Amino acid sequence: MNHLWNLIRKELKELLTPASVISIIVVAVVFASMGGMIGSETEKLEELPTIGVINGDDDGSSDYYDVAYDYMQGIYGSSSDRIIGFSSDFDDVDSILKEMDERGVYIVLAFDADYSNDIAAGGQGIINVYWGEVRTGAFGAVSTYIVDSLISGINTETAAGIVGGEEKLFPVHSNNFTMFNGKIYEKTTPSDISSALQSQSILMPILIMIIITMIGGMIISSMGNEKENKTLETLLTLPVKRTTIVSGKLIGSAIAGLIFGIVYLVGMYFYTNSMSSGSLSLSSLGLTLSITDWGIVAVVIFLAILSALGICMILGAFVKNYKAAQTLTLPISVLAMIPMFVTMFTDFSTLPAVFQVILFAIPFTHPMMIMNNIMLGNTLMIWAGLGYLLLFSMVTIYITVRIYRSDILLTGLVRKKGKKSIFSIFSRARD
Amino acid sequence: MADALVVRDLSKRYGDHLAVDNVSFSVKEGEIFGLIGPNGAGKTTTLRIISTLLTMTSGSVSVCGNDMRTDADGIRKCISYLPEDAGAYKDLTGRSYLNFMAGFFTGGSDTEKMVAKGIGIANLGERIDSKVSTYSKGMMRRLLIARAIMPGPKLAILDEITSGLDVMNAFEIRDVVRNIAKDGVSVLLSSHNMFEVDQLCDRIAMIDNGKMILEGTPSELKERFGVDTVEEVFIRAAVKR
Ligand SMILES: Nc1ncnc2c1ncn2[C@@H]1O[C@H](COP(=O)(O)OP(=O)(O)O)[C@@H](O)[C@H]1O
Ligand SMILES: [Mg+2]
Repeated sequence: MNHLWNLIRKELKELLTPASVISIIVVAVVFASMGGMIGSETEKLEELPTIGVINGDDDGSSDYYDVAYDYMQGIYGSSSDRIIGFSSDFDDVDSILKEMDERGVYIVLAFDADYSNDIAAGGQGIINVYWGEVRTGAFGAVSTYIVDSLISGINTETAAGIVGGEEKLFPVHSNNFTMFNGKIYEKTTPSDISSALQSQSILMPILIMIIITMIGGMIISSMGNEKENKTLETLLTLPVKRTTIVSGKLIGSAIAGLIFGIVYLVGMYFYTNSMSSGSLSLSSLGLTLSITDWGIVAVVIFLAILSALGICMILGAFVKNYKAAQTLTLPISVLAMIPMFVTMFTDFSTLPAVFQVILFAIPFTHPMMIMNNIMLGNTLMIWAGLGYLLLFSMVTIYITVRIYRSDILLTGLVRKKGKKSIFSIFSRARD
Repeated sequence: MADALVVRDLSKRYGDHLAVDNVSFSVKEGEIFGLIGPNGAGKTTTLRIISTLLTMTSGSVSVCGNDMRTDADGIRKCISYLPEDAGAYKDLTGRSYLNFMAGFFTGGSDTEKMVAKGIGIANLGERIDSKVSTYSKGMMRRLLIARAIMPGPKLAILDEITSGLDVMNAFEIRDVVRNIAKDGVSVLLSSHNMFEVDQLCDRIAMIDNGKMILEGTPSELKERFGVDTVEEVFIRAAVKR
């Protein structure tokens, strides 16, 4: 235990230098502002979505419904087949949702029974806008931009067409109903929800990616240094167990990784707080994490860091010097980038099975999705991910220890005719 | 006198290359034993096997009565290994490096004693509190020798300890090694500098291409070949084969 602490302290001293801490803060700031840019760009990337229309406005005159409908037809032009008449009652939410599901339509505008009458009487005609289940991920949610502009166009058209009545600037009012996680949220748009989820959907993947890449680069470099200076060789001849040396390196770097993680979390916390004023909070959606949930999040992050360190120590074992170490950091950053982009831009549950399997196999996917999985109650993904991470980190650590007990650490891979001796770590190992 | 190190029929194969070929020798207590030979002869490989860093292909090694195959842990308790061209953790000062290393051998006030001993051997004056990244080659070598000696090993294994050093530094380092042996520590060192081993070693073994070609005291060997220097002994022996 004493030896272990001695090694951990050394590792921390080596990793937590002022230079490394400063560079981490700089990168955190850069990435955080990138997250903000991505978030604001999402609104403009829409094409005209298929839209369902329910005309509840069938008693009395329905003139103003026709105005709105004609306007929409005009906007959609040649793609007006994307405007689909719904047969559900305008106020029967269950039936509307069911029909949306059956027809694969994501947005429905339901015109109120008194729509035209209200407008004619100088009041506001009501349009209820129903949104299907919100997808997680930055670009998962169809933005409300198109519908907002449709409604405002209908407002303008209708206002211009009001004859005889009092002039009114906004004769139409829309109410949003959004399905999320199996529940209906009133006065809420998908944008509201996805921006509330943004810290999980965007910041978490970025955060994990940075931590993994940084800490991975650092440990591989430190292995390169140890090889170059022969300090590793020296360490291995001391009366210290190989498992202690490996654990010291792993735990020391894992602690450094967690410290960096906290630096980022704090930075991003302030960043998101300053950005998300006025939007929905997670707790208003009923999405809060209990102490146990936070515990699971922490364990998953820790295991992912451990897995990264395991991979890096295996890669680092083959590194000859500091320079060679730099190039070997690439595989680990790529492994962290892939799940970052995928979790940021798509929803795991909608991906083809092949990609799901690949993503699942990358250990860093799990900490990136863990918050959403907990909030949305994807119990299977949580526990399967946790189990996989546990297995993965154990296996990498086991391999690392075997390498530390073999010649490979000092000699690299020696080629024999026909067979590479990487398998020799399992046969010729000694303690 | 008991043998600090016994090496019997040691061979090491890297893939298809036989780097050490049936080497046998022993080092007595308090003796300075030199492995000499040109670059690539197999000196470092031999020292690494004895230091428990590499596995042997065949043969046997026993250090202070501990067998390599069954008790590598026991061997690590009684050796100190100084790799060729080694360095230290660059962000540490000389003192904190010694402190860190001492932590693996003792605890409490004994650590302080051990570090004090190390600082004495290193003899770096005030510079012991400078970062090791600012050390010259000679200073670094002194620090590392101090590190190797301060725990009081039974066998010190030193790989090319003076390589790359200037005359003054090399001279001082050799002096340090002599003093170690006077204190009863056995020393196994390697060198490709024939003059150095002549000066320093009680006994030497010459290896070339992984094979041991000669063993004896420097004067014995010079006499046997009727020459004045160990260098000439080596040349003669190498040509004869
Ligand atoms: N990791 C390795 N893989 C393959 N061959 C090696 C390796 N290390 C050393 N050798 C070879 O083994 C021989 C002995 O090397 P070494 O013990 O370093 O010699 P010396 O220390 O006497 O200069 C050399 O021919 C060298 O090329
Ligand atoms: Mg050598």
